[in-house]
Order: sequence, then C-alpha cells, then structure tokens
Amino acid sequence: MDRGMDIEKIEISRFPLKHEVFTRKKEIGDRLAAMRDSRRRFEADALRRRHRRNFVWVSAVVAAVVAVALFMLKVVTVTGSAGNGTVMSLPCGSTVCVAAGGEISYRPHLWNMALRRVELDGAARFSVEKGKGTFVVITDYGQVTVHGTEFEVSEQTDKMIVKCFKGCVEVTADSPDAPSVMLQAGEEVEVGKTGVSEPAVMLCEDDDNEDGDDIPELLNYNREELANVVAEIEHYFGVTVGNKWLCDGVTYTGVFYPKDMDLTLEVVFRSCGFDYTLKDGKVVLHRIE
Amino acid sequence: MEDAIKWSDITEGRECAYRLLYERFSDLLYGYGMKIVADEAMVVDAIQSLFMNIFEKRKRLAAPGSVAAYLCRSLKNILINEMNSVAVRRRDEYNDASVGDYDFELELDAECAMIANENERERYRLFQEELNKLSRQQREMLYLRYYKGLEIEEIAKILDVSKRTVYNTTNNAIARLRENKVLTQYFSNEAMIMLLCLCDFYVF
Repeated sequence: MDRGMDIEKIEISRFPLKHEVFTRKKEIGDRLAAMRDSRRRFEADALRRRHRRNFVWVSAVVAAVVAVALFMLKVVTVTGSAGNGTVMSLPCGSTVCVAAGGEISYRPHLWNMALRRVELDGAARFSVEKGKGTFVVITDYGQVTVHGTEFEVSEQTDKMIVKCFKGCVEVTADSPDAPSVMLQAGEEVEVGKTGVSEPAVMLCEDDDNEDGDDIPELLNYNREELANVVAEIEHYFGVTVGNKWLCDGVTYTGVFYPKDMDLTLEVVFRSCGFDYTLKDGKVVLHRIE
Repeated sequence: MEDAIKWSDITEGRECAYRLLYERFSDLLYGYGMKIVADEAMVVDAIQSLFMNIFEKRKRLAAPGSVAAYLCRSLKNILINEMNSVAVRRRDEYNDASVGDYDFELELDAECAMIANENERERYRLFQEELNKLSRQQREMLYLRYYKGLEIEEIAKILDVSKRTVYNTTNNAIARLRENKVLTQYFSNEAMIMLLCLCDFYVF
C-alpha cells in the first residue's frame, strides 16, 4: 500500500503545484515567537496581580477576624468597692455582689453566645438566673459550675471557700484528677491545691441569728412571695409593716441589704410598685397612684 | 512526521516545542490553506491565529490523535469562518456572494517544472484539464494523499468522512486520471501495475 502511494506520489509530483512555497515562513515564525513572548509576560503580570489581590483579600479577612476576635474577647472587669462591696448585674440578668477588694471579669460578647464564665479574684456572692449555657465561676483554685441559684465564692490565702445558699453548685478543684463535688443548699466546701473537701453544713447567714456581726451584706430573692420579704424586713430592722394585705399575690426578685434599711425599703417596695412612709418604727404601704 | 513533538511540551508552553511545531507543519498548512482560499494574506493570518490560539489555550488542549490532521482541520475551520465573514459582508454590499464555499483548485506550476518540449507541455495542459474535471473532494484527497503524504486516517479526520470513503474517492480519482490515454503514457508501467493492485487491495 505504501509502495503504491510512493509510486503515485512520484508520478504525480512530476506536476508541481503553485502556491506551495511559504516564502514568509521565517518572518511569520519570528512574529509568532515575539507574540508568544509578549503573551508570556502578560500572563506573568496577570499572575502577579492575582497573587497581590489575593494577598490583599487574605490580609483583609485576617484583619477582620482579629478585630472580631478582639471585640468578642473584650473583658469587663468590676472591682468591689470598699465597705459593702459592689452589686452589679450580668448580661443574663444574674446579680453578683463583689466583696470589697474582690474583682470579677467576664467577656460580655461571649456571654451572649451562652458562655457564661466569670473569673473571680477575691470574694463575691452570686444570684444566678436561668439562661443559656452553664454559669461557671473560675478561680485560681478551681471552678464552680452553677446548677441553679445562689452561692458565695471566697478566695483566701491558700484556698477557696464555696457556700451554697439555694439550689446546688458543682465545685471542681484546679488539679487534673480531682473529682467534682456537688454542693447542696446549706453546704460549704473548701477548695485547695490538693482538691475539694467533703461538703459540710455551713453556718447559714440566712438563718435566724441575733448576733449583729453575722448579718450578711446582701440577700437575693428570686420570685419570692413579697409577704415573706416583708417578714424579713420586720425581722432584720425591727419595724412593723402596715397594709401587708397589699402584698398578697405579689412576688419579689432582687436584692436585700440587711444592714441598710432605707436602701432595702426603697429597692424592695419601689420595684414592686408600692410607695411607703416610715414613722416611729412603722412602715405603711400605699399603692402608687 | 510528528513523533518528535511531545504534546505535553506544547501544553506546558515550552518555546522549543512551539518552534518545532511551526517548523514542521507551516509548509503543509500554507500549501493546504492556499488551495482553500487563494489569498496569501488571509492564509498567513489564519496560520498566525491558529498557532496563537494553540498557545493561548494550551492548558485546556487535549493531545490530538494526529497533529497534522488537527492542524489542517483547525486551519480549514478558521479559513472557512473568515471566508463566510467576507462573503456575508460582500453579500450585504453586492447581494451576489455564496457563503462558505471553496473550490480547492489545484493549479499546476508549469514554470517551476523543467518542460523540455512541446509534448510535455501538452501533457501538463491535459493533466490540468483532468484535475479540473475531478470533484472538489477528489482534488482535496488527492492533494493531501499524494502531494502532502498524509495517511488515509488523517485525511478522513480532516474531511470528516470515513476511511473507506477516502480509499474509494482517491482510487476513483486516480482511475479517472488514468482514463486519459495521453496521461497514461506518462505514468510508468510499474505505477500502472501497482495501481491495479491497489484497486483490488482497497476493496473492504
């Protein structure tokens, strides 16, 4: 077959054709080489521009992430003032009374993401509202995980004391293998470097106690019958309250200052929508018109 | 013909591969293009476009089965598109052009050949006449097969027909040329014998 083709080719090629010689072959070849060279330079420039643009984008994204992280991790610190300490509300509505010299810090934006973590240095009393995420108090000696309610954490020289007034809290020492201890209402534990002690019954500050020195700085109430709070007012301040029937069916959520009658009356009754008069050891309630 | 060119070098943009590709195939493309459209400027532009297209689209190009067939078919497409554009413009202006048609004329170069006498000149004239009587497809296949030495399979790819069609059409073209007794004398006896053998061999 090939031999046949060769013979035909030989015979036919004895008749040469016009327009078979590419006279501009070298010129066009050189032009194509120059065009390829130019195209390569253009592609290299485009690649560099793309890399530069990508770098700018990546930098912008990194800067944005850092800014958001800094914003989210912004820390709010509150120090307890001398005397009665400082009472403050946390973003979830929980209240905390930071004792004089104590300090708490938390990240409010993480708080909104259900990370309710408070770092404590010193002593503070917490009244925890239900909310998203577990409420955790972190100290140098361990952490207290709240399972609902009111407790006190106090850092001392070489230990931490946790007292639970209502509900229960979970106490974990800051050591790798230390087991957690569930603390019930009315119990207290000591947390040291070695772990958590056995829960013990505490001398409850809310119990009847005639000794003025043991009167607590602050009490917290959560949807408590106002009549019961009024009874506490009469108990702590030695006054009588008139028109108690107005308290029927009313509940109180908030703080109570056992050592400051004026402040307590103002906070408790005003927040419940009552006006009052105080005269000769008698408090008379009125509805605010 | 194309063994030395590694297509992977083309897709990677190696300059030496592009120079080799151009060196190997530019003559083939020029001759083929000039048969499709007898306009050197258009053919040269088409060859430039073809090689630059290959370079610019190199990363997306798959390796062709035959580089010669791929280049010829691509050049033909470029030329036909260009001819169509010109024809459309001309039709708009003069209302008399046909779109996308080409003749593929094979014009013998009597000046290039060493013509010794009047008899040989006459044979040239007769061969040209016989070539002109062939169909366009016959001329195109004859040209690619016998002037450019492409394989049957490559011609089939370029013209988008079956291999059998290429066999039959080229054989018919040769047989038709041989019908002319003056031309028959011009072909050698050996060639005639081989042609007869080929006609039998190509029957599927």
